[in-house]
Amino acid sequence: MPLREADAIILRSYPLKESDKIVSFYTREYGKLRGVCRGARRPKSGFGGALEPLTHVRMQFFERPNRDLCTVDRCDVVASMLETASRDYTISVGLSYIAEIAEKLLPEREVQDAVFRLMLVVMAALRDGAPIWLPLLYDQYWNVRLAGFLPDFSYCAACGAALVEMAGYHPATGEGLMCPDCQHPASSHLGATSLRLAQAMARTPLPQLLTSAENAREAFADLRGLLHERLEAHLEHPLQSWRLLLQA
Amino acid sequence: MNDLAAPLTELIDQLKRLPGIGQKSAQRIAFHLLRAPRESVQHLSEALLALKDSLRFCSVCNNITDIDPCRFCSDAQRNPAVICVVEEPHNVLSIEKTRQFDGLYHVLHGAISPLQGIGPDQIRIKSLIERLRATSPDGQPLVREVILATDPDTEGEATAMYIARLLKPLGVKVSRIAMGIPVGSEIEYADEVTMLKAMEGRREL
Ligand SMILES: [Zn+2]
Ligand SMILES: [Zn+2]
Repeated sequence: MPLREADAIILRSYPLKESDKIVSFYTREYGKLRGVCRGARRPKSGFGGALEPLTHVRMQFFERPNRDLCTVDRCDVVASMLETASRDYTISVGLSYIAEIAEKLLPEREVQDAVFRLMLVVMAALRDGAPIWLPLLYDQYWNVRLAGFLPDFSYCAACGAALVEMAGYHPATGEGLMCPDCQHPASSHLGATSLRLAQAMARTPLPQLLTSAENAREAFADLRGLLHERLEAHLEHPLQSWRLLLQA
Repeated sequence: MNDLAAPLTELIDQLKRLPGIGQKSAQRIAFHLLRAPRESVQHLSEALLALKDSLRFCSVCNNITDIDPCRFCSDAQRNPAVICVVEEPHNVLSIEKTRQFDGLYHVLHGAISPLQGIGPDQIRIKSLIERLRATSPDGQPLVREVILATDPDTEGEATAMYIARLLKPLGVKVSRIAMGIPVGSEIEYADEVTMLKAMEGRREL
């Protein structure tokens, strides 16, 4: 029964029995795991707020042979999102969406340092007071990209022309973005502002992108929708928090 | 397990489904009931059925009750100007234990949980807003303060944020209990002193 120590981000927790919790967490060293935290729902448990979604923690746990669940022994907060989530309702729903993407998209026990770093960057921006919408978009973009199903935002998938003013795409077909000449009749559209942002996200760190964050909720609604569709098409399951995010 | 008579096995299986009851406790209870006089077992079974048959939700505050409106809502000694909002009926008990709160309650029966797809419409927020619209004969609002005592975790906090945002335009004072209760735990487990401090230290939103 080896004791392991890891840098981890809490993705989700569920109540278990009287006073325990099951927690799903993403470790830098071992990938995504699930574990039992005994007594975690009691006030004097020692876990405190460490098991809330998106808390960055230093974690100690035991893995047992042939068991899916490990036993979490200790969990120390490195950085919490609770205060950020308490800023307003919209941020808290946005954070749930970010946690849900990771929880559903990441395969168990697969190490992907880039995803781990992505989450740290997104959360740091939000803790620094950034409004939710641009970091959320950045999180969607890089998750889709790292999972390998990002469309080309620069050139038409049919004729190769540069995409500038507008691009069409058809969620059902799963084909790439197309220029106005090639697109299907019933296409959804991505405007010039979103195209530019998507192109910039490939090479610009999040803190620099934040300067264009103004009005990001409305300005990039089309891009957010497209990335969400890609995620759901890949997952083959709806992301529960999306509906609440639209209303938040 | 097959060494036991079938009715005993069945009872033990049923008891084991209860929270906090394992195989050993279930056996102990089952053998205790076996030895107990028939009337006392009958009282127990009647009490269990009465629980299901006679209890319902209060039409005002959604608390579990056998009379409608419930004892809190129909108690003239209590202060109708303050409403304390909680997630679950058993949270009312935790706040009553402090003996300091004399207002009324509103039970949401859950919390907003985006990860579970539970939105504002799935818990009892609408009826809270309706209660706040009530006015006295001279047109003054009856409710002056709403205390949000949802759990101090992400879901409880999201629920509090959402309600606070809804109530702001109504001009009622909205406060949130202090985080004297450790974050991530549940109000159900808070002792009286902690709960009292949380209520006293509430901050206006
Ligand atoms: Zn084209
Ligand atoms: Zn009532």
